Amino acid sequence: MIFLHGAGYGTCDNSFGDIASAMSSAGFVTAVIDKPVWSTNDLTRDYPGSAAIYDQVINMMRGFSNVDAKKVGLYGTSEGTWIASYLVEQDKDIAFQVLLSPMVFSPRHALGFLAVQDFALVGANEGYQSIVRRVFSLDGEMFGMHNFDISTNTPTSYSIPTLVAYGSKDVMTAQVQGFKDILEQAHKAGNYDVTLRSYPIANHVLRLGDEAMEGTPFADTYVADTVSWAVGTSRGLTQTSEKVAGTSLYQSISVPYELHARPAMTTYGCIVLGLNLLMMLVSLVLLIVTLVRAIVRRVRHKPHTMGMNREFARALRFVTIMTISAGLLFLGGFAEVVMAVVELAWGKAPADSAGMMYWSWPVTQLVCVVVLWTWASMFEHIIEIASQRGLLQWPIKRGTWHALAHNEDPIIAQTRFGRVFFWIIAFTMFTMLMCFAFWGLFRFS
Amino acid sequence: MEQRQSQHTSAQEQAPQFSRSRRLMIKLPIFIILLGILVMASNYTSLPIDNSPTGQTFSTLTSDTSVTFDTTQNSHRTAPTKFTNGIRASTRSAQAQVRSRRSTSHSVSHRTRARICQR
Repeated sequence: MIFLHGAGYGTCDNSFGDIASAMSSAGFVTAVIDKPVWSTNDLTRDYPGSAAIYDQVINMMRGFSNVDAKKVGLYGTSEGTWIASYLVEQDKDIAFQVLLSPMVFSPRHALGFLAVQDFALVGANEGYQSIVRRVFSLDGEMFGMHNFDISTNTPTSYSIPTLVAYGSKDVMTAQVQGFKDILEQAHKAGNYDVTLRSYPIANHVLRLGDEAMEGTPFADTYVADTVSWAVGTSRGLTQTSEKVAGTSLYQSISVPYELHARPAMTTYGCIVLGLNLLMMLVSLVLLIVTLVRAIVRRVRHKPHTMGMNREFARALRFVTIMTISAGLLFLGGFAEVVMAVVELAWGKAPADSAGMMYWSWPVTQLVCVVVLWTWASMFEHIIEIASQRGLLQWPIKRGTWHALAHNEDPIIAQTRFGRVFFWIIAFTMFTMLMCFAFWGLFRFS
Repeated sequence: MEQRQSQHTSAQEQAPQFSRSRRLMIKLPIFIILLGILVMASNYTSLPIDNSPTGQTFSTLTSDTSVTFDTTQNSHRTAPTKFTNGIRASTRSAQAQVRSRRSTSHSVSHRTRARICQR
């Protein structure tokens, strides 16, 4: 029996120790390898390549004298169940499979479900929940990420005897729709040997307690049941126990099938977020230059002011502080949600009160509206000064035009450095507002 | 040059400042335009939320998770039977599962229920 790792970077030393020992005690030759990840990461994982590696191990095992080549099975957990699909398609001689919390759907839909459901469970504001849908609607192909829409839910993937195991405390899988889909695909392949075992209180990896902790025990009789099923199935016996047993499956929301790659939105997002990142870097450099300039001028006893109009200086300071505060509040709220989701996934119950995860969204929206009002005030002030100087009259007077063209009495700041400073910082803050808009902070319904 | 500047300054001094209501009348449309642009951007990226159906359940036939096999069969087959005769109706709906369970309970009870675990 070969064991397929879930998410993360499991090794042969820290993975499947207990269940593999139980299987080997029952007569199976078991193989646990380091998870084949090469130079990939969670977003660029090579599932077909991983399946090929696992299949090499299976073929190696088939060469052992104490292994029946026709009775090799696989044990996949979570992310590994995507690889299991490829493996079953590649190797037609695999005898059976044990799927622990199978993901079933494409990563876009399976992980989208996970995030949408868990964001709701921890009490995150609907605004944060809408971010999930935006993220899972990005077009990964544009960045060389081909895993978003892999199709592993095929009849071939479930054409062999299959044991599906779920825990009722698992908040990562769409259990009802998932199991129904497995049955549908298996039946299409003519396979009616699909067994479900569902255990109360068990988490995503069928263990009790915090998933982040090591050495937590498997739930109830999971190990004994799985070993029994593997032994009986590998011997070709007819199962006499109920195929569908354990605690009833429950699924809070449906799988978000409506999520799909949106290239236009992805392009727009890249432009907005990229521009903001670029402007943040430019602003940072500008601030450093301003600081150095001020120090040098002070040392040389030269005036170091930028000659900025007091009204504009005050408005720019207000806009900058408020926009950055809104950004920090937004990121803080989002980070809080992510931490709560991680703790929930590891087995912790959600807190009674959502707190910052809820109120940070509307407060950020309010701050953004105040910032926009300040922007409007700045533009109004520019118009007022322009009007006072006759720039809004037609035709513009010759002297006024000359003064405007030669910056003899600038509106924003007396020095060129001051004007550059003002517009760069102001534009940076506006791109930040555009980022907020991209993530839905200006949607009020 | 100095003459032009002095003319310009004097013109500015002479020009009246906007009244509070006029400022508001200018600020408001600018604010609405800016807000409109950002609201449009937010609406453009917003996606429909459809969580229905919610609270789906899938009933099991028994809470007993133990797995048993008919050990009276020939257990020396060379390969496992891939498509054993399972309870087909059990997969369709909870009601169908119950019906199926009733219909198969007799045949199951006549078999030897044994746990196979070679530990």
